[in-house]
Amino acid sequence: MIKVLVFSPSFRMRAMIVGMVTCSDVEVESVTSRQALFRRCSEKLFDKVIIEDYRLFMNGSDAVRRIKIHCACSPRIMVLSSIMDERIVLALLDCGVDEYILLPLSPTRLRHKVCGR
Amino acid sequence: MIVFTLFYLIFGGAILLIYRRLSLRSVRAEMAAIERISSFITQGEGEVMIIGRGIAKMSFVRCLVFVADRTAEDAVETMQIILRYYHIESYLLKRIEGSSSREKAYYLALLARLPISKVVAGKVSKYMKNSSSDVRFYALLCMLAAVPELAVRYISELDERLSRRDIAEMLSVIGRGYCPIPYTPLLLSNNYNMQLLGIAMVRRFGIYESCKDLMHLVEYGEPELRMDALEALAYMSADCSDDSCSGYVV
Repeated sequence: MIKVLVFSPSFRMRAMIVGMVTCSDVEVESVTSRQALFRRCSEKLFDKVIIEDYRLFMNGSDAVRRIKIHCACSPRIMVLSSIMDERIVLALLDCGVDEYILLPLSPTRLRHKVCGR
Repeated sequence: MIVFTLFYLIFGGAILLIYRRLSLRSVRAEMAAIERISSFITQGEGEVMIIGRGIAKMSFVRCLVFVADRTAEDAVETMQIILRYYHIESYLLKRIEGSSSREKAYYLALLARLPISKVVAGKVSKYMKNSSSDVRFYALLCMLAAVPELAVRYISELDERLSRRDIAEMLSVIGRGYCPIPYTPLLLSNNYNMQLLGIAMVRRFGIYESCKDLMHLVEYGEPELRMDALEALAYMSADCSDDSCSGYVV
């Protein structure tokens, strides 16, 4: 069972991502705040964490270390954003984000990336 | 006096509680609808009739618009199945008919953000002559969303100048994540709106190959557009040591 954690400040965005990734092989949880995200990551080991707020990694909060607190290679962090600026994308990848997905996104591709099918 | 104050406090508290419960209920209904829509368009199949259950039609339309805004071209066909099943286009067109200018503009804006059929372009073209500038603009957006291949023709036929905000909205409609129309004819045209759209497009998609055309605009373009062209060049980290930029670069 693939465990996925979804974080977005917007309830609509959370609902959309949960709807896209939910299937029989995936167990999805969602959180509404950054504190809840870090707390949940420290309590449970997730396979994938989908984050819709790229500013989380830009404010010096050491987000990557706090998300990957159990293991350096897990969970896989995927950031969704509509920003096309190459500098921001490279900065995110440099700080430890595993994948950057541009909005508008392809639902089937997102599910393929999460489920690995 | 104390009794009246207590009464108003209790009454006000009850109103707030009811409002909060109704808001939470509508939030939950929206979340459930968005989940069902996303699941349906991801799988590409399923029961369409359960998607719009338990939610008011206008809220359902807003949920569809939210999902359509954030999904790419490959989800369009499945979205259109939902639009046809729930007759969303005719519902919004009907609402536009009997409403004020402000509401017309709002419903046209919603319609423009959905993957609508080409038929809609003919039905909204009459609003291009409306007295309200917002209605005219959103009617144009609907026509662009319905028939993006004719975007250049529609924009070139406009009498009024579009603002940068208008162009940004236009780009989000006609290009769902990819560059929709060739940029060179836009940059090299004599039409202000087309040049502005071209500059916004190359900047948005980071089309470095357009630098030469942008330099040409900096030198020979309209005064209002020269700074836009220069900013686009700077944004793409282009080489601004050319003679055309010498008056602007310190």
